[in-house]
Amino acid sequence: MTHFARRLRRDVPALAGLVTLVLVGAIALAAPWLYPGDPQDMVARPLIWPFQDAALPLGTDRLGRDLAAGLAHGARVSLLVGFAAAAAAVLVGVTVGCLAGWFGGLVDDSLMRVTDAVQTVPGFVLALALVAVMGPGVGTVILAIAVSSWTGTARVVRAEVSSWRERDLVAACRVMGMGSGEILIRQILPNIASPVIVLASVVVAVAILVESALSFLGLGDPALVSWGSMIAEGRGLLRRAWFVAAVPGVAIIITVVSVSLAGEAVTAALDPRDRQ
Amino acid sequence: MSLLRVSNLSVVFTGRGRPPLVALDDVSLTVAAGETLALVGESGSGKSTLALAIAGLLDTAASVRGQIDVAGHGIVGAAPTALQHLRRGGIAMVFQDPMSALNPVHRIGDQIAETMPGSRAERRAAASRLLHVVGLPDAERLLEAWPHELSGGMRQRVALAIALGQEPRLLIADEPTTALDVTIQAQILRLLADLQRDLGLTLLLVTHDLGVVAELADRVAVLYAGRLVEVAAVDALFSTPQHPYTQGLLAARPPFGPDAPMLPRLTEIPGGLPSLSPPPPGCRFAERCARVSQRCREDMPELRASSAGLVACHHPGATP
Repeated sequence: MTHFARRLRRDVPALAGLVTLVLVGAIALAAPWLYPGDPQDMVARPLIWPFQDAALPLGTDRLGRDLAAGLAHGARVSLLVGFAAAAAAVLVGVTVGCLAGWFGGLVDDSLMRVTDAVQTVPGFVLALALVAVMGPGVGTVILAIAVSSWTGTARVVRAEVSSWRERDLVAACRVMGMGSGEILIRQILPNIASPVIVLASVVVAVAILVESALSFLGLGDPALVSWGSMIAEGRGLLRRAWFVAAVPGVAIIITVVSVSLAGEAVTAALDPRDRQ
Repeated sequence: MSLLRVSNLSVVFTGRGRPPLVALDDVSLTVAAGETLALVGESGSGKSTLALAIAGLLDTAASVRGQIDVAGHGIVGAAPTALQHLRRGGIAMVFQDPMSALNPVHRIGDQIAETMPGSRAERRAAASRLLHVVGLPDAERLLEAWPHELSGGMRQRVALAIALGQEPRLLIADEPTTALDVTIQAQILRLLADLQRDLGLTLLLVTHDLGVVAELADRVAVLYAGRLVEVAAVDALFSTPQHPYTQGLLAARPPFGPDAPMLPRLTEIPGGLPSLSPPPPGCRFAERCARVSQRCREDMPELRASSAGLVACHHPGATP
């Protein structure tokens, strides 16, 4: 852990990303205590601009709802969807990639053709279709995003595993009496963790964006506030009160950027060549 | 008592859309316990395939016929679990490039101790002892080191320590010094010789470097295009080689010494390896051989006893 801290001190962007992400996560977790009650409740007169009222630092929307409360509660949905979808996508992608890369031949061919098939459909369209068929809801959105975003991870992991499979390390491990599972999980996977984590951070970022887009189109969970639905709310007011759409928009940008930066920080921390 | 017995081993690689390639053809040899056998041949002669076959590491694209017995256990056709069991405590292997045989994300100590039995402290002590055995002082610091922090020679020593950790009876060294500097090569060879003597290891040394052979081997097996052409004790092979290919190999060494003549050009064996898919019907060396006769092109010579050992040639004998 000490080398991680030392490395972070040199890498300011990574540190900033990590701190911001932790902060956003803390706000999301603390939302029910920071802003008790339903964030969809009307609390003041509509369209108060940010920084006008100390009690409502980010102002109110068209219906007089507190934007700060919406942002805090929306962070819960965005982060939950982002991380859950990414976890599911990476799990599927790593499993498929490992099997295809390790066994090769027919297993590789069939798994990669399935991957091709999924990849030919644009991810957002696939997610849109799935949510349209299964109906809106947080679980559906997570599933839809996961289904459309495991393919990149599968490809990268397959390429890495099939290259590692040919190295002397694998032959050496076999001679030492290790089985396929042990070699894959204990020897090869730790070596390909870096690209997988970078990819995972991209998947998290994309998932947050896709969730926002789905909510913007009214296909998110109607019972929950999300950043996407808040932007949709502000869409009609862009000329008069642009801040209603801008506040959640900036939140999305900050979160997505910090996820990417944090991913790089974790990657660097895992690389032994960096531990001097 | 022979520890390793290979009988009539043939290995054919079959790939989709390619003609089958005969990598090894009817190879038989034995290695006695405690002996060092060098397996010599040029690139593509099948020496690494033979080493991999003995370690049970050939993949499913290879069809293997014949028998390999290590300490009385059959390798060919053994179930994967049986092979795993057999490898622990039976066979260990050291590879050409120690960097690619070590895992870059695990510490040296963990890699040595990985497959050992016992508690964490016991395994650590054993790993530290092994580092001393392979001539690496300051084991305490090295146990915590990463592979990229070591030099090539140190890495190869660590790879040896990992191999020795399995308490093998048969150690297969596949070109163990090829990737190293000349001075480090000598150190690693001396270490191998010491370990072989002190631990009573049986050593199968795969190499194309005749200097290494002279240094370490008791006996030498010469492979050419997938077939054994000559097997002899190391002194006999160097003094009275019987097969024209062996003679060519020895003649191709650069002269060395205070009164060695300066050659305008090194001696070479003309031609190249024949295609092995399928191999020619007669002697595989026929096209490059000065003594070739009609019989050589039609009739494949078998290994027969010669004055020095075994030779597969219709016209064996000293250089004319």
